[in-house]
Amino acid sequence: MKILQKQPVALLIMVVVIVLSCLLGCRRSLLALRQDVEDCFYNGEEGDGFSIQADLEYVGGTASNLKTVALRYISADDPAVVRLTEARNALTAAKDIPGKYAAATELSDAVQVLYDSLDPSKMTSTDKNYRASLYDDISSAMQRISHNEYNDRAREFNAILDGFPANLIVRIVHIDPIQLYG
Amino acid sequence: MKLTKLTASAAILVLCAVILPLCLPVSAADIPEPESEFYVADWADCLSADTETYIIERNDTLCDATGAQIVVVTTDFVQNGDLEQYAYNLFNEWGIGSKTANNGILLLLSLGDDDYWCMQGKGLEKTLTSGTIGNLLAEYLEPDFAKQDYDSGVRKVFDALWDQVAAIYDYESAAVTTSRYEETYQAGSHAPSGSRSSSSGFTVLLVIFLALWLLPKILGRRRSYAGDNGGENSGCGGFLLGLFLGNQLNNHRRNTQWHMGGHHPGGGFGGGSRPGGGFGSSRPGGGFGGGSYGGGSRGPRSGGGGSSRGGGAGRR
Repeated sequence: MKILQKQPVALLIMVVVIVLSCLLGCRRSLLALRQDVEDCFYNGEEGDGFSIQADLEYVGGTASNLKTVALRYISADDPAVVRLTEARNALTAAKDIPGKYAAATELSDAVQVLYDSLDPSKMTSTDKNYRASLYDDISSAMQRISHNEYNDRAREFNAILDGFPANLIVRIVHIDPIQLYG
Repeated sequence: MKLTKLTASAAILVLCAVILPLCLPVSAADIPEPESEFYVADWADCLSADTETYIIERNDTLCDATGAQIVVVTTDFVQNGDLEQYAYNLFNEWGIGSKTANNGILLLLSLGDDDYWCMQGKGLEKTLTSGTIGNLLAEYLEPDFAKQDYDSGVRKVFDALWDQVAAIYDYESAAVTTSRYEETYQAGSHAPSGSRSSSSGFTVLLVIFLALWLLPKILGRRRSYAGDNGGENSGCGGFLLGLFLGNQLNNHRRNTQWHMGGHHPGGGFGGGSRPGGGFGSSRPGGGFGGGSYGGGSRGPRSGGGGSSRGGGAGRR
């Protein structure tokens, strides 16, 4: 143990401890920052539940309601109905953020096709209102998603990872960049 | 020595005059300031004076009781014809509705685009859905809008929106007894300076302190010749400072207004036109923010600090 009493060894140990502490501390900070950004996607910019995830669930539910109205006038085998059903299922099943974006885009297109395929002149006034109001609700939710700050925050985080000294640390502690919505 | 001090003071003031405009954040290029009455901005000049008064008065009662605000804006065109984006920017820039309840509504008519949009605040998304708004627009606004009878259409749809919000808050049953005007005005007030960032606010304060420290020194030189009239000199210094700052801010406001009708009054802040005004005055509430207005007089109207996430509904 006399070796530990030597100054160069002590110095080396101190340097190692400092470096390890820095790496661990940086990793914790970056992970916490990453978690904040991900929370924005799932829980909202202010943690108030007004989030992209909530909006996507709303879009899925509202699209289902539109399908319910549509089925009073067209068959379940209609390509527009089938497309909407598949898109909605894909959105529900999507696990990662790029997958949710792709599914939401497809669902939005499917809603547009179904909306266009319904002839309002052949619908009751109540269903005509449903058709229009549900379409407005879905469009509105998609617009709110487009205004969400998640992507800006994700880009900021990714820029931090790309900048010095995080770009050196990231190579050692392995922190992945955040996926953008879109 | 005295000349050197004077030169130095003058140099600092000139530097402030250069730096101050740069420190103030530039608002969104195409979002003008709201009108003094706030609830109506008839830039397209399609609403009657009666309708404007009606909208303002109805909003006063609604805002007093619930903090909700229904703002009507008419314009000739919006940038790129994207009404939803423009409405989103305007809604959040003006802070429509209560800051805590986010219960504002913006009705935007763009006559040149032959289109309209209505957007609700974050707090009304679930109780006044975009689909409901779309139905109200289709029923109450569209028939008159198609005939270019904008005044009638706006009045009808405004009433419909007002009724919806009143029903949400059960306003007609007078369940709400506490006046929320003070809360809306004071807690989330978006007086025209409300959009300034905290860092630029700090810079402005720094400049003010410097000026307050320097001007009495410059003007207070006369005390040694004319006896003790420091108070008068402070007031004079305050007037000059207010004049200077008001002019700077007025220039900033004019520079941020462009293609929306172009008839916004300069306005400006601080001691531009009030004798002894600015920050050297002993009058309370001078300068930024509008100060405090006691009960009895309503004072200038402004947004409550509400926000919107966007969306809403437009012309079908």
